[in-house]
Amino acid sequence: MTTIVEARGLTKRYRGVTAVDGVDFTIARDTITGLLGRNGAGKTTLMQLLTGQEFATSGTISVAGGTPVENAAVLQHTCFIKESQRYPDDFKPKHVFAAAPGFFPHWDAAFARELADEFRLPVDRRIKKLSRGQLSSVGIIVGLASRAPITIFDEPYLGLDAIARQAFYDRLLADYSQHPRTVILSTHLIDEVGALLEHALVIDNGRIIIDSPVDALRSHAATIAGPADAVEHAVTGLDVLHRERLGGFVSATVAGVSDDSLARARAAGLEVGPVSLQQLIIRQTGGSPTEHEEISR
Amino acid sequence: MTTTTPTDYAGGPLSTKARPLATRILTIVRLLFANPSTAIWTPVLILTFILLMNIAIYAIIRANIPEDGETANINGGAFFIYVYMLVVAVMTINQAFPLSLGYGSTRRDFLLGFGVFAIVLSIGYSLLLATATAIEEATNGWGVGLNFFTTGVLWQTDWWQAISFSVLTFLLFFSIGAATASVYVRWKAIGMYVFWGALVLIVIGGGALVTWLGAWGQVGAFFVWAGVLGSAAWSLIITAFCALSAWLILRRATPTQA
Repeated sequence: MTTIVEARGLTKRYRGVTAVDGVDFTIARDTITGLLGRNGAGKTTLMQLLTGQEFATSGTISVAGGTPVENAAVLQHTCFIKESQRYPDDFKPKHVFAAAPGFFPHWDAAFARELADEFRLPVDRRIKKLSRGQLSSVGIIVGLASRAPITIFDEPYLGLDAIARQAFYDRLLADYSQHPRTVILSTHLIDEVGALLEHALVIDNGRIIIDSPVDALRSHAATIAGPADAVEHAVTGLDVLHRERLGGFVSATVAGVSDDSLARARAAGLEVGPVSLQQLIIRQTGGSPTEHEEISR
Repeated sequence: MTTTTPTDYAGGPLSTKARPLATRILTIVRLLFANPSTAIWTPVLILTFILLMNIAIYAIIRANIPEDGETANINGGAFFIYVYMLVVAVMTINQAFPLSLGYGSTRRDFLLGFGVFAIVLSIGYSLLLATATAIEEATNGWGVGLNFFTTGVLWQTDWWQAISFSVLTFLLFFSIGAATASVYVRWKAIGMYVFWGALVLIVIGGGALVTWLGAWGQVGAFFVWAGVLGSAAWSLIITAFCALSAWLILRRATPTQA
């Protein structure tokens, strides 16, 4: 596996605020990585550092073998779709799509048209007049049709309904399998993208707190539920992230489990279930669920 | 599914060589001209409208005032287009800069592309104004003696001097717009307060200084000495200063939302 992004001690400090705090991580080429975390955790700053839009206070970041800052050789491979991208006031989506091929040599115009149909985007309407969701779909279409070797989506779905979001995930996955590329996707909607992600980077307070393949995260966590005594016995020695009590029953979320311990729990008549990625991350970041479930502003 | 043209980077290493500078600059120029309505159609339409209004009004006046009443009238209505280009510069940089960076352009390539955009428009509009002036002179002021484009001494020199003067003036306005927009893009509202505050201080301070030194005569003498085209050529210093400022400011700017 080739490394395409490498950060070492990467730090970004604004007046009094450390948005990104000495992070080290690598991203493998041609994978879909989820950059997950709460609002203000540092996701956007990290993505801006990745694309040379923001300047690191200290530490280094290397993308496709070089620094991204003012480096045309690196930036030509990137496409950064922001949460609320600004477009020139008089632009219509068709103008954006007409100018895009210059930036993205792998631009697929037919694909862009197809996506515009699917997202029911009026390409001949001024962008200022588009709804929030339609505006988001302009970004999503550019991100997908650009086929940029490094495509970065920063919460690209604001205002999109569940059907359109699903269409985005389906299209991303289908196109990614045909044209493998490095995709970095920041999102709050962890469970929605759970099936999409191969790797998860969870950032909290400017620090990377989870950096792991998603499969490994999932397979090492489980919920064990049943009578309190039996559950407590079963989870002895395991990393208990969370306990929920209901009368004499307990449901425990555990991490770092082995197949053996789960088999023993099952044999003891306990209920063993999977943990959703979202639950797992909420437990590990110690937040309350509602704060993670913000969909739109 | 769609066309399955295999992307040429698939599997292989990503190119570590940037595309040619000309290609990158052309990409920006193409973006800035993707919708020509703001920079071309709207101002040309406004210009045409004002011209028609002026011809109509002038025809009414001429019908009541004898032809030999006053001869040296200068309308200068076409001047708005210079100011309009300053606004185009401000809007273009403010709105297209974040988009270009998101699409993988460098700040440098963006500003160079904007420079080409400004030069193309400056030359284009200067040719348009020169042509309109020629028509105005040939038709004796659109048949009613109107001097809409003929701004006195400016167009009575050689045509190439007049066009150069116009191009230089356009470039001056574009560069002032670019510098102003850069301040806004980098420092937002606070930058604007400081910028305009400082500008007012400099202009008033400069005026006060010249008055105090009793040097207004010398200032006037400078422009007489430099001549029309010379004065415009001297404006290149301001143009270059503004362009350089825009570059120095933008190269550390981060596109922010809204």
